[in-house]
Amino acid sequence: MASVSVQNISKNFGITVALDRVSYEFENGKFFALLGPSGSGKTTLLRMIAGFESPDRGSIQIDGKVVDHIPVEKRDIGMVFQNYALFPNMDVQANVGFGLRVRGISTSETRLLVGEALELVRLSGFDNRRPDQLSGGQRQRVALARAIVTKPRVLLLDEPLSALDRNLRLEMEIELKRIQRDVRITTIFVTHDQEEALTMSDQIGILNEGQLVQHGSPVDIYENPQSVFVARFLGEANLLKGQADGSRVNLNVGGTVQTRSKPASPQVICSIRPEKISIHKEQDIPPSSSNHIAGQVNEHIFNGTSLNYLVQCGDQVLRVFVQNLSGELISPNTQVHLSFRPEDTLVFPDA
Amino acid sequence: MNQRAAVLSLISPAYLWLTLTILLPLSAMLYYSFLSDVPIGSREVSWTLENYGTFFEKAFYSELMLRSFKLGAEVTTFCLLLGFPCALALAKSIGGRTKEALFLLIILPFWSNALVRIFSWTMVLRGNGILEYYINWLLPGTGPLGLMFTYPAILLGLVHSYLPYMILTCYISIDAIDNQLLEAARSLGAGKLTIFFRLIVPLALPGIVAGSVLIFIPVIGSFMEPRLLGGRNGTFIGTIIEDQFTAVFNWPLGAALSFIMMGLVLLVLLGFSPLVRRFK
Repeated sequence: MASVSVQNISKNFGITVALDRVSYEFENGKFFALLGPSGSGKTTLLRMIAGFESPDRGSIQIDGKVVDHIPVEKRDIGMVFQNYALFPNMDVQANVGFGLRVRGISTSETRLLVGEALELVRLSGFDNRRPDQLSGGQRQRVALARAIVTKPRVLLLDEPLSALDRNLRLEMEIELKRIQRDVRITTIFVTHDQEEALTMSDQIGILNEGQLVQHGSPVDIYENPQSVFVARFLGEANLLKGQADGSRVNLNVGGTVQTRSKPASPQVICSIRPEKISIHKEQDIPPSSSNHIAGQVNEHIFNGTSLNYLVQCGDQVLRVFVQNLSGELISPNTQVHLSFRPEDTLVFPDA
Repeated sequence: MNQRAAVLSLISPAYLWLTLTILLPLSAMLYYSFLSDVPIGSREVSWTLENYGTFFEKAFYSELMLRSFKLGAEVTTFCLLLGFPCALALAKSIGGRTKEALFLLIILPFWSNALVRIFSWTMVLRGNGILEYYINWLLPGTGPLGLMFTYPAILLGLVHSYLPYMILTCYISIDAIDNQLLEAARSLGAGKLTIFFRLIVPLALPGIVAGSVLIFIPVIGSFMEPRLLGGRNGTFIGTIIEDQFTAVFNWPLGAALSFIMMGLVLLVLLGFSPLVRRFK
């Protein structure tokens, strides 16, 4: 268990910028998600912490010690790869025990530790199976057991769930979180799946085009995105352009709204999460303290627990998620009012 | 049913061809190997096991057979020692145009006639030849090397001829090893040697075996390299068999020796097969 400190790291591959002055402190024992679209540099950052890539500039420390010149095999890390990377010429026992044998640990102790690790990932009794005799989820567990059996200082996960089908992925998310809590190992998890990042991590770092654009707890980032990119990448957001008018914004789709903060530039984009909007039929009068805009229901999607509406406002279609309280659907072509609180109306400069 | 017909029509031309070109001549040879003489003109021939008996009666033949197997093993070993590192570098360290160029160099010898290649070796190896000249120029007073018509000269020629097979088969199997496996091993603390012996070699074993078989079998029966580069020292079972057909005109004995050789090669391959199966 250890803390990892990334300081002002830059990396170019030819003319493409993989990472641009990224700094971050991964605290001891926590679960971090590095989230970003493909090509954002998240995997490069993970591979640098592992030691597979070296930064052009900047430095990485593990437990306060600079590791820039320490090769992968001496860094004492555990890593789970996207395709599991189980050794096909070895059985489960040998796969999990590999790191221990390399470290010169005796056969009897290796067997004991491997047994414990397999128990932790709930694969006891699979010792003599070969990787090709295991299902995807089981391979994933073996890969995880192999990575943690050596008690590494940091556990690095490179999109480990992306190859699993949806049900298995949800199950593994819970498992991974449980195991991480059990062994309390500093874990850095790379993913492009926002749901994974939200449900699993203590802290999320969002990368875009090589830069760490925002970091914080899942709730903090979701509720307080600091850019249109973050608002759109983590969760859904309705984005409405408009002109600043003092402390208010005149939306291009019609209507004037009060925003959480004072608009900082004349051209702005307002962002409202679909679930923060309530929908009213025209005859119902929305509360006056709220922002409201008029629209017409285009389509409704019934999900059981929730109702999703696509509402035409001016030339834009807004998404609205409503909890299914009444069981009543507003049918298409109905004129409606959308209302949302000023504190849920975020405003960003329009670049 | 339709699919079976399709499969049949796909494989039957090749198998018909193989049947005609391999099975027919081979069965003719098998037939000859049991005859007392070549059935040409008015010669009296009869069925006999004498040709096979000759091999077991005269120690000379089994000694030569052993010598050929030793040659096969040595050539294969040298090809492996030279070819495997080369294949590893080509598969895992070199990319792009450089790799293409290096592959071309490996395949280039195939473009020239085998006989020409071996004859050119005699230019290099013979007394006062190219090699001797340059070594004496670099290190004056080395004197004659005496390489021509020796066992090492045969080894040299054969390794030269068969090395590309080992490089290519090993390359294919090393190239198929997922780089993530090697990275995973490093992340678990494994050094280069451990990765080489615990992962790369076992995973490349199919290529090593394929290359070894492709080299071992023809080398045992080879006669051109031993004859041209070995001279008086170039007597192997392959040259003896060739003699029976071209010089002595004893086809039955040549055929019988060929079948004994084939049988022994099969035995050797059978002996190695559990090793291959274990790593599958």
